[in-house]
Amino acid sequence: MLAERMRTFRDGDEAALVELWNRAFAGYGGYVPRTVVHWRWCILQRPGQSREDVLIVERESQVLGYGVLGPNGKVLELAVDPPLSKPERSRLVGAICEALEGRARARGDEAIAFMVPSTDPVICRALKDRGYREEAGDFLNMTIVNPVALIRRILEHRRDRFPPGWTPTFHLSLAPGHYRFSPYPEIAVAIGNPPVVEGQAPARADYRIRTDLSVLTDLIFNRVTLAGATGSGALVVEPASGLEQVRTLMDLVALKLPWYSPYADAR
Amino acid sequence: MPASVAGPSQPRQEVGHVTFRPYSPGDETGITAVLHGAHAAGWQGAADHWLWKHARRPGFKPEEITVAYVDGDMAGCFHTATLPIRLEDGLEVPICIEGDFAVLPEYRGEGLPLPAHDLSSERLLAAGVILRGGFTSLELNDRFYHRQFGYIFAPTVSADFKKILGLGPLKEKVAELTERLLTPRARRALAGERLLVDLTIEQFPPAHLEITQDAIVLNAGSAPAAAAPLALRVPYPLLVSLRDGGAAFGRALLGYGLTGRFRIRGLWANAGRLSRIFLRWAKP
Repeated sequence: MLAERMRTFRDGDEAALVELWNRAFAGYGGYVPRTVVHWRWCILQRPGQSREDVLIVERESQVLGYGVLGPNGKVLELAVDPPLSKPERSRLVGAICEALEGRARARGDEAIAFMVPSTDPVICRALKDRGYREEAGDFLNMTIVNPVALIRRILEHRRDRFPPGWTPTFHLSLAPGHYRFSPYPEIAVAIGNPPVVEGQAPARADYRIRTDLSVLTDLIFNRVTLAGATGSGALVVEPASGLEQVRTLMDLVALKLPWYSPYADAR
Repeated sequence: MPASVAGPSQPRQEVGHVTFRPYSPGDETGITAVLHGAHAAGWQGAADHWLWKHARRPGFKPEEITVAYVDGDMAGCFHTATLPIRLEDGLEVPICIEGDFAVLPEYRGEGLPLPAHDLSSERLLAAGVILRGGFTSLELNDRFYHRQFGYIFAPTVSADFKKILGLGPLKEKVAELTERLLTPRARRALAGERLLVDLTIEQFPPAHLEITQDAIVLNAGSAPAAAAPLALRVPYPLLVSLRDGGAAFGRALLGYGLTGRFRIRGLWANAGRLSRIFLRWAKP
């Protein structure tokens, strides 16, 4: 097996690191997709940041993983090539951690912190084995500014998942719920190619959905099920026989990827 | 026509006696003063940090920062950044990520954040932004952001892992432990004693504990040899296990003791002192 080596950042590495990041976290939502321009600003141009803080493991010029030590010992990004075997990933994570800890000690940081996906057992195990402890942190909360645009974007993106010949129309009536800002109390959804979503009551619709924007947010972000919302009376379908059609719609707009946001994205 | 935050060339937007306007170049000094004044522990950076974080971000627009004035004085600032966020493969939407919300202490309770948030919502809607969010704790979100504005956490798998590398945070932990460990019974047992314990913690600089009836203090460096201190060799994971409770610590102590990674020296030299402490502690 060819030897791996650890080195610091060099000009021209950006594209490989960005590509690795986006590939390593393809199974997650909730982060800013990396571009070279964004990465340069977010990492390299951050005040106090040095190229020595970006530690890269490579084999034969191929980047296998990297970590970026940010201010106050916070690791802004950690990514390891996903196709590698578990033992290889574990070893690489351990090596990057060790290098980042060494860099943190050299800088005089008295603590080091990682934000990693809890669903990645290799990374979590490697950190625990090195004496890391999971603590309560700050996470990305979220609210919907424009539910019409959100539903439209999701349905347009998933139109190839529509059941064949499926062309119902829906009328959503939304109370504000916990929202102070709810610009569209009535939304019309017409399934077609393309789907049409508008911020006004339709002239007519096959099915009416009465709920509030907080419940709709929970449904879209997969925090409650339609059965839970209807069972608690938080969502009502008229006529009741349209429940299966509404279930199909809600399955289509629900975002099911887990969210992961690294320290680099925290503002 | 909905209310909105004024554009750079537009007049200020009045809400009661509070005035909001977007950032304009030259505001940096006032804004960083508000940020420093509003955060008790001090804002994380100086003017260059602010410039990097906001004005030099690719795609920055002045209207992403709102400055609040009360009777002509800068009282608060609200920063946002519109960026793409990934929802799934091939689906990214604009999100306004908020941060550096600050109101000077003397202007708190005047309701500045609510109109600032409402005005920015109108602006964001007009600008094509679909989501807005910010990094916060579960507790603060439940107590404030969810109730006031409907914020939720999408099902997240982000996990925060920390490790102490230096003596500074360890000194704080020892200070926190002092109150818990120095019970009246322990203080009685330690009366008149000064117990020194040299600590060798893997990958840490040398340190020693000074234990008296008044305090447990962690000091940098080794204890004077003339004081014949106890000496402990402690693996870092054993320290971490302290936070998991007595049973977990006991199991870890046994394991590390059997493998030789946890060691005590100087028991014989301190036998008299330890016996006195134990007898006083055991006395009803």
